[in-house]
Amino acid sequence: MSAGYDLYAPGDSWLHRLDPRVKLILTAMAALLVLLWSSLPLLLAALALAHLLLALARYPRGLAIGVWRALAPLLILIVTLWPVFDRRGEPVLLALGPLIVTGEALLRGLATALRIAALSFTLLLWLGTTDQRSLVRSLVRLGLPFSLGMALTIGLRFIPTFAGVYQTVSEAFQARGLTLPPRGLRRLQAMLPILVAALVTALRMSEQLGWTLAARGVGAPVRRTTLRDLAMRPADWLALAAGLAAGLALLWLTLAEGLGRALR
Amino acid sequence: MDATAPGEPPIRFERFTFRYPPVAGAAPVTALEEISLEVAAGEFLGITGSTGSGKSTLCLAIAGLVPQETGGIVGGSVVVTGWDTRYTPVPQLATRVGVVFQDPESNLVGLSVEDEVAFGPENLGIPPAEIARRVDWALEVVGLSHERNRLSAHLSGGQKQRLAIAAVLAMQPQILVLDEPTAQLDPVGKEEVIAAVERLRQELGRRLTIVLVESDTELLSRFADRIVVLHAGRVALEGSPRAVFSRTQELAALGIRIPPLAELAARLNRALGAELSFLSQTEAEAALARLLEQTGLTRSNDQPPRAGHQERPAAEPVPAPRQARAGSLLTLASERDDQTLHAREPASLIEIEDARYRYGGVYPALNGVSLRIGAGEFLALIGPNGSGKTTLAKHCNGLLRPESGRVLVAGQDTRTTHVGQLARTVGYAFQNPDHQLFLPSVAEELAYGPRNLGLRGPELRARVDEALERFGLAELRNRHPTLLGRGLRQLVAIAAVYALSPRLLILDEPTCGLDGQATGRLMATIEELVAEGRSVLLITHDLRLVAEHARRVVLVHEGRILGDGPPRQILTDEALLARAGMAPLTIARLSRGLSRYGILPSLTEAELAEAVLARLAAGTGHSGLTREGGPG
Repeated sequence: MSAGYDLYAPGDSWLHRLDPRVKLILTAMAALLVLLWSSLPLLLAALALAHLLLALARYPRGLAIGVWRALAPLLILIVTLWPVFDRRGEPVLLALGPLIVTGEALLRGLATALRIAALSFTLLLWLGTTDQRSLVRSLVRLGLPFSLGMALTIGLRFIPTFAGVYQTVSEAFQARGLTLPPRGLRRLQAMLPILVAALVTALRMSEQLGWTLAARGVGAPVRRTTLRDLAMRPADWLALAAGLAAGLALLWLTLAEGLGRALR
Repeated sequence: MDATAPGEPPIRFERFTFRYPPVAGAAPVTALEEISLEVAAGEFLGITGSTGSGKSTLCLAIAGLVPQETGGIVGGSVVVTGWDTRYTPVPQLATRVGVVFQDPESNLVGLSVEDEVAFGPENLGIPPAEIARRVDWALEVVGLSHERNRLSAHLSGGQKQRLAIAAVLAMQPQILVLDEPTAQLDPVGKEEVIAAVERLRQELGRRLTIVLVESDTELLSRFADRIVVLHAGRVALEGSPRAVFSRTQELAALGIRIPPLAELAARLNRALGAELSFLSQTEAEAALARLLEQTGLTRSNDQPPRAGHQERPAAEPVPAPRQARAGSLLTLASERDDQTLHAREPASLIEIEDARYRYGGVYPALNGVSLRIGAGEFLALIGPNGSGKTTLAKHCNGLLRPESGRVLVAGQDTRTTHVGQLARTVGYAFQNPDHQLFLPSVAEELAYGPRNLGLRGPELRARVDEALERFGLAELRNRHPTLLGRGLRQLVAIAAVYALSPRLLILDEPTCGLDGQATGRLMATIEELVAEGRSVLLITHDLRLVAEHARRVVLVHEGRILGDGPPRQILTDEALLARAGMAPLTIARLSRGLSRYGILPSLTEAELAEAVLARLAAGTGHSGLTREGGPG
């Protein structure tokens, strides 16, 4: 059940082993660059690099295709609608009354779609190779309060659980003759009982979970210890240094020299 | 950590009274009343009671969660290892008391197996080297060492509960409180947890005090040094398992399900004026063998002694033909009426033909299942978790549709008929009542389904009234369903499905969370429905229930039907059950152990008692297999 909500693929590649903090910092760096760039070749290169790294980390192709599939509707929408609203630039390819489509707007739409795709796969490099506990642990080590990290862990855990409860509840209602209208307000109305029942179940569960946390010593007035703390290995420092140097150089080129700011 | 004062019992309830905070303007509900109870160091205390007797509240009180987390009104005190639970913070109490709850989902934080166990000690600030040692030990005790890097979310129910026990053990408590830890598990998971508790008992012996709350009294009788029976928040019975479980009539009146061996002993005692008492199968077998031998029924009288007969289930005497049993009060339900012979053939309600199904198109769940269910059948679907029971049941009302093969519901193909439409023919009551209750009154809840099917006005009212009456809910018609106790919520959920007036009623673990009395009432209602010609499909792990009520048993394993026949055929076939990873009923095993005295395979206590009594009566020289005076 959890498979559909989990992008993480267990593994033992160099990317999996890289310290989650390093991965987080480098992902942030790469995301910043992708957001700044408009150049089609550069964005394509970033997207290709992300795929190359995923392949090197032996990330399952099926999961990556799943991400493409999930993105597809959004990307298609952007590419088709962007030119309708953005009438700047040359050459005019089509002029039908108020509808003007320019070549530049078409490319701009394409660039935006590519940027979203590149950003998604950059994030996938991080989320797809970092398990939940390392993820939360790295956030905590980078300054997130432990209680928030805890809440995040439990929240993430409850997404598949709640989805499962919602599924069962919805089946139980259908078995009592509920027919969900295909769409619209009436569908939302019909879904209300399902949501109520699912929420009641979730509340009962969370009350008990609260007890479990208290009974496991959360909130004890002592300094918390950790069984396996994160520790930077030389390889992690090296990756961080190299990654940051490359990233900062590209950032300087982007901001000072205008690298990748133009469409082509 | 300061040690408990010498002579101070680890747990002491002193006239402890607790009322939950009032809900929605109602009066506060008394959960525990004047409880005075001491638990000695190293004792294994078993607690049982009907639903709403206060069992779980007692667990929460030991951990200080009552009243600190729940709020409410408290009288008297609970002192745990010298600490008053009203004033000692829960995290501090957690260093002495570990609690494991019923629901595997809410026992775990959701980390990896190793981190889950380390979580408690980490919160207590234990040095990492010591945590590592404790994690190794705790995982070893519950048998999860090889799973340490898996995510807890990916474990089975039994593994999750074992992990919860390990997580608590790593905090090195002096007291372990287990609140129905196996109630939501299948037989396989249940055995896993029991084995872990047994191992713990061997490993720590008297260094750990254990409080086990269970409605499965058979389990309690195996483990506990002492039993406390709660009723309406008070201690109703207390004593050794032998003493408590011999008071079968009192227990029944308190809504407790009596362990099968205790029930058997009571029946024999009543008939023979004897004082038999046994808690384990070995004990029972020895005692009954002595009894049967006393009256001259030796091995040589009936059959030659068989070497290694344990391994030869197939060589058991064939059960006497059902005609020979009919007419007796002590036959199984499946043998009392003629359903198994006649009702199945004509007019199939459900026809499943070579159905195959994979979840998400990947994970195989049904691997070619064919099944027919006729009108008026009472069929039990058994098998371990993940065997495909629920998947199969969901094919019967169109919630799932076969990838290949087909399913016909009253002649309609489920692939082309909407679930809402099929709800007229097939009603499906889900296991957790909270998954279907949402309206502000019981009556409205019952009206919801029929209204979806188009019923209005007097017709609808009549339907609701009839359903309320039938399930004994008439007095509760205006009450808020979600504020009722678990047992009543279960009844409301089933009644709400019954109100659709389906020809087939599918019940998924309907007795989970019900006590002995409520189970008895529900099963009587279900029997009525069957007698009126409705079909019932019961999904359950409770083989005692199956033996007593079902007319036909379908055993599912790995998405295939492994066995299909009357309870006597399926439930006495130990080899067949073992192939599905299931253990036979205690009574079935015991009767097999006594087969050398001419005892035929029995499924219920009543049946075995009768068989033993018949052999005793015939014991003065007769030989050959007889029962109920029938021919051998």
